Amino acid sequence: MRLFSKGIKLHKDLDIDFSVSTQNVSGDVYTFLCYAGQEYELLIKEGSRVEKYTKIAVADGIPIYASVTGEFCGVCTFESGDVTVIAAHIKNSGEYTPPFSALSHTDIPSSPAELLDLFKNAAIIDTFNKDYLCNTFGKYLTCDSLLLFAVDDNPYVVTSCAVMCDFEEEVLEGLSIITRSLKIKNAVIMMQKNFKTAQFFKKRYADIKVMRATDKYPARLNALIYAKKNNSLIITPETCRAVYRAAVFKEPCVTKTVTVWGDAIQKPAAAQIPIGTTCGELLDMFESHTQIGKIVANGVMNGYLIMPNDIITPFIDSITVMSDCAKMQQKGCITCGRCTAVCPVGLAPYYVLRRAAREGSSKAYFNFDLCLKCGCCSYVCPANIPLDTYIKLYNDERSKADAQK
Amino acid sequence: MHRNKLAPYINSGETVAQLRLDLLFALLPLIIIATVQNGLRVLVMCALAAAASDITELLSHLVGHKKPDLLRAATLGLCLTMLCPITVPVWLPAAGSAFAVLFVRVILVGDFRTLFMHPAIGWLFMITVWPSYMMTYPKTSGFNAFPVFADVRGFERAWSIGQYLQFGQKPQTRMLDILFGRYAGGLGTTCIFAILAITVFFLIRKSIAWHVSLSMMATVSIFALFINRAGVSPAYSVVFELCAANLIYVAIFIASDLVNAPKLPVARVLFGVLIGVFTMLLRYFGMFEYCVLIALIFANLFSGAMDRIAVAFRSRRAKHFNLQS
Ligand code: SF4
Ligand code: SF4
Repeated sequence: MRLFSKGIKLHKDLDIDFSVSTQNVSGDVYTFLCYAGQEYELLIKEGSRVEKYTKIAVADGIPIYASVTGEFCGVCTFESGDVTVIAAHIKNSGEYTPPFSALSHTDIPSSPAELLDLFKNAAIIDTFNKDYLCNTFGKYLTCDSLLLFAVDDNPYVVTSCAVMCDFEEEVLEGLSIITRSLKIKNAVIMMQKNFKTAQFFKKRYADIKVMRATDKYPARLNALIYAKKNNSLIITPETCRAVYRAAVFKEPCVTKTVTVWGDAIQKPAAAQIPIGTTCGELLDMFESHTQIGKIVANGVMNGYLIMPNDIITPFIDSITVMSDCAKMQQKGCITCGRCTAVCPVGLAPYYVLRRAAREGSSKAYFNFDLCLKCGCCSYVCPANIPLDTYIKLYNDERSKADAQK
Repeated sequence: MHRNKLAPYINSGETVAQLRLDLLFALLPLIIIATVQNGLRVLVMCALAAAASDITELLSHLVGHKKPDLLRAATLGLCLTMLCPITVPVWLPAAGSAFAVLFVRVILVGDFRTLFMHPAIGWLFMITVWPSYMMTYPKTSGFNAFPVFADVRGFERAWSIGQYLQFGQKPQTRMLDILFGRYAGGLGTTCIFAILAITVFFLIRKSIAWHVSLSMMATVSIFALFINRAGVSPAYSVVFELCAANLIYVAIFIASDLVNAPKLPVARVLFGVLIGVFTMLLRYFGMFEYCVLIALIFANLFSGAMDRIAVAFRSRRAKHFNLQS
């Protein structure tokens, strides 16, 4: 049973197969280029044939590689949560392309500059930081240790654990490349409490510290607390694996591991698919035993709804398929204070509603940018108020007001 | 399938209606015990009070106020009835409930609504307008049959524990009688055993702000240990002070109401302490047995301020905890 201090109690732990199956898709693929509004430059013409791993565009200075072989049919847009993404439509020919050295660099990086080069050329994205690693590189230079976030973070995102367990050697090699290049001595793997793999790693890799996330907080918060105390940088196993594959096989990051689970899925599992596969095609790989009600990307606590024809962007870690279609009816706040009692960082979400309603949300009273968007407050609210979304809106308005000053 | 629903997509399963029902369920054992001890008159009083508060709630909705919350209104009626002695006219709890709903739902607006606890307001109204009814108790042997509708006249009177203490006398009540509610007091407020069992239910369901009840009773107990009004042993002094004037019932059922109590644990503890201190000061220096509800109304005025202090404190602590940087 998963239990966060005073809020979330999940009686059902995930019954998930932690092996990752590599799936070749046959349908069209929409390779993620950038978000709407960002600059991008196409390197190929509409109607031309592209090979898997060839550079097809440069977006915000970062190269974008084709994730399948086929015909380039043009650029299209998709909704993904509250943002619009731009993607390159590739008509998948289904041809198998053996891995080849798509990246131009030669050696395994051994200095920060070389590592930055690798991150940039291989377009490696870290889903914990929700950005390209080359954009967050500055943080690496000042950290004392690396924290590998390999927790089955039910009910948030669960892919990290699957990648860690199934590609253990590649992940640890990648971790070692990063630590050596940055001259960092310490690396810590965070896994969940009572998970036998944690014990296994502890025994097998005596030089790597294995830490167990407690059930007191959401695992993400556990990681943030540790990182703050120890000046660590948090990365995911998928990132380490991508670094390893880019450094050793010269392979850019064109695939994504996504965990598919939820009560409508018969056998929850993780699948490695090309970036840009449609959600519908991904779901076809899994058997569902009931009618599908909702599809949620990135965890049921703070994710967003997607549709079968939406695409898997590099920022999607998990898909939850729920049979339940009923809307939870939102009621007026009864001022019970439950939201305040469960907030793991000690905020008072109840006040956002009151203050924002009464005095306009541009007034800054409480430091709500500390909010982790963990969703605990909304989870316990008997009136079903989406408090974390309100906090996000409140923060957005406040930053807009600050910018106008 | 729809795109518009906001996260989270699962919840704890708790609903507002469930919270209300918890309170209603918790009152049922008290109503049953009171009925067994006093006869069907109790049920008539409860039915009239619940109906009166529901009708007032509906009328307040008709004149343009918030959506009616019939469950909450009915619970208020029952909660208030449990505070009255069996000898009050059957319509009296109904009048108190109707007034409480009218005052809090119609006359008060916005945030002022949470400034006053419904049952405390209803009780204040009843005791101000009909003090002789509200402070007279019949002698009880445990099982009495009072007339169902007619006024109760010529009954043998008894002093409540609060009245004994008021006059510096030792209450003539045995511990076992206290446990099973065989002493003079409000209808559903005397059976300490039942109230404690209900408290366990509340704690499991998390449907009360238990910090308030606990800190309030702890404060009263500490006062009772040091200032002994009845000249009894400190342990007896604590028990008598806690059982006097329905204090335990008020602490569990009224003061800990999630809606009116402060929202933050620290503020809740402060709130409970404040009620306890006010109660004991009023008991020592006042001439009035039922000061706990006055103390409650008074402390409730500060509940918002306590929350603000606690939030400011929390905010500062959270800043030290800035994990995003
Ligand atoms: S979403 Fe933000 S405010 Fe709500 S519990 Fe989590 S950290 Fe606290
Ligand atoms: S949990 Fe919901 S109903 Fe309770 S105070 Fe918070 S917002 Fe209001």
